[in-house]
Amino acid sequence: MSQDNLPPATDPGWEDFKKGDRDAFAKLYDEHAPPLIVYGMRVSGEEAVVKDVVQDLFVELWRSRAQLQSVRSVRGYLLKALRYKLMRKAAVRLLYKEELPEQADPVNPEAIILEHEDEIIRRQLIRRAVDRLPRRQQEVVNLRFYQGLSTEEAAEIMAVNYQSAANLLHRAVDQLRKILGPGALTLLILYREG
Amino acid sequence: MSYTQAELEALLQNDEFVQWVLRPDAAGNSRWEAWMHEHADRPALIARCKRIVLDLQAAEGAVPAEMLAGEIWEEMQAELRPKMHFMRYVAAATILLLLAGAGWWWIKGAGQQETPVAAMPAIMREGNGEILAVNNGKGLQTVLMVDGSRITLSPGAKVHYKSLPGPDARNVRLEGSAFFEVAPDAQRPFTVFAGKLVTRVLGTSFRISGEGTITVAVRTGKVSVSHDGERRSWILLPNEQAVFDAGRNTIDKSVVIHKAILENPNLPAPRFSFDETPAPAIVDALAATYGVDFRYDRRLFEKCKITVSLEEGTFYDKLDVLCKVLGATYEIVNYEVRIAGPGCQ
Repeated sequence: MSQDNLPPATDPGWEDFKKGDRDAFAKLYDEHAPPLIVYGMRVSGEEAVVKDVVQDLFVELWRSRAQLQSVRSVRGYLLKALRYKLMRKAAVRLLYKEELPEQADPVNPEAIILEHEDEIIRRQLIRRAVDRLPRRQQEVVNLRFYQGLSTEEAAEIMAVNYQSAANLLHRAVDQLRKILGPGALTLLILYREG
Repeated sequence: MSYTQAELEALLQNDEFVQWVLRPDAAGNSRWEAWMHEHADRPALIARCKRIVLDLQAAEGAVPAEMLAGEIWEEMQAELRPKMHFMRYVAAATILLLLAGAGWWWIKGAGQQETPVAAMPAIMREGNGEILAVNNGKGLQTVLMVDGSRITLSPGAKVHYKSLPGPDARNVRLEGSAFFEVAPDAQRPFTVFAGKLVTRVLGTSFRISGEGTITVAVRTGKVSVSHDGERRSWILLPNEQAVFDAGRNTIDKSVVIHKAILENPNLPAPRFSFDETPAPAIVDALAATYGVDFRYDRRLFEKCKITVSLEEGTFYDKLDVLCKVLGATYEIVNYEVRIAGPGCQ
């Protein structure tokens, strides 16, 4: 499962960009900036901070393009670089520090109905539920279920070991079920102990 | 049919499964199909897990990422420009030239007492507050918008817009050539759609012309140009132009060569002074000029004779003054302006 044994795959777009091809840079931006923003919003929650850091990241990329290494996964590389930059912001560090470790907000007494027919409302309700998770759990949810990364890749980006990432994911799913309440997360009503 | 919480979680923890749900491919399809049919409980389990993953993906994606990416890209351009110092120097020089030009134009305009006023284009109401203004004449015609913006249409040009724009956007669709003077309003960005070209106004005046090959040239302020549906955009400063070639689907940025296209063609707005005029006639003039629909009790206000000068300000300023004079109030409901008041005996 480990990807460390694989040879570094060369992404032709990345190689063109390293040579100073502006179109390749624009393509790289178009492809990666939106998901990076989605991840940044999950980590910091502040639009201004995310804009600042994403801009900083791409300007730096362009300026240091000649010195960049070939990378196995461009997305993984950029996510990690973005996280590093975000964590250097005092406001973001505070978010991660202040909360009690791995303790979700108390359960909302209101019944949240995820069977809501309106997809947009359902999406907002789920998003709000994820917002209530501890930061690291939010992060792992984003990396796994939005960015589509493996647990191992998520662990690498968050600078934790594989088991910690798997545990975070386990707790996130568990907490989500609690936050959303019984009868909420559609699948979770139907299962029976057995 | 049943499955356990543990089974469900195992699937959510499974990298291959999650990646297949997010990015289905043929190999994944056959693999998970086969797995599913090994046990009667699995189709329901898979369906539930898929739903959870897709719901979470959609919830996580509910961020205006594309829009923010566009904004960041624009802001980044200044930092990424290769010859930044040179460009800055040129930009500063053009602004000075334009200021000098504007001054000259203003003096010339002020010196002529008998200037003809701007002709109005034909305005067609298309329902829901939508307006189509067409210049069917041989000369220039000017559309006045409620926010104070003006669009001067070349012969044959058409614009389509909402007479009373919403709280967060001013959108105009253009066919043909027109000169835009956009009133600043940070809350409501002004966007012009011409063919496949999208021009977002960050500042004040510019021209868009052409059908197949569309040119956007900037006189004052700052404008961003992009392909419809794409994030990449080009920022245009005064005296810069972007030429969109529909055939090659490219946008090229250059300095404006034909300075004449940047001359402000605008004539003064039509007179808006009234002397002992019945209120409904003034309302009719506002309705005709701005393409706005009014609803009020015409008979109630028929006897209100008003002497007022409404030359200054936007549509809303004029409306405020008129209502004050009438002792009336107005509100905007369903794309129309409703006026209520006691009227005159």
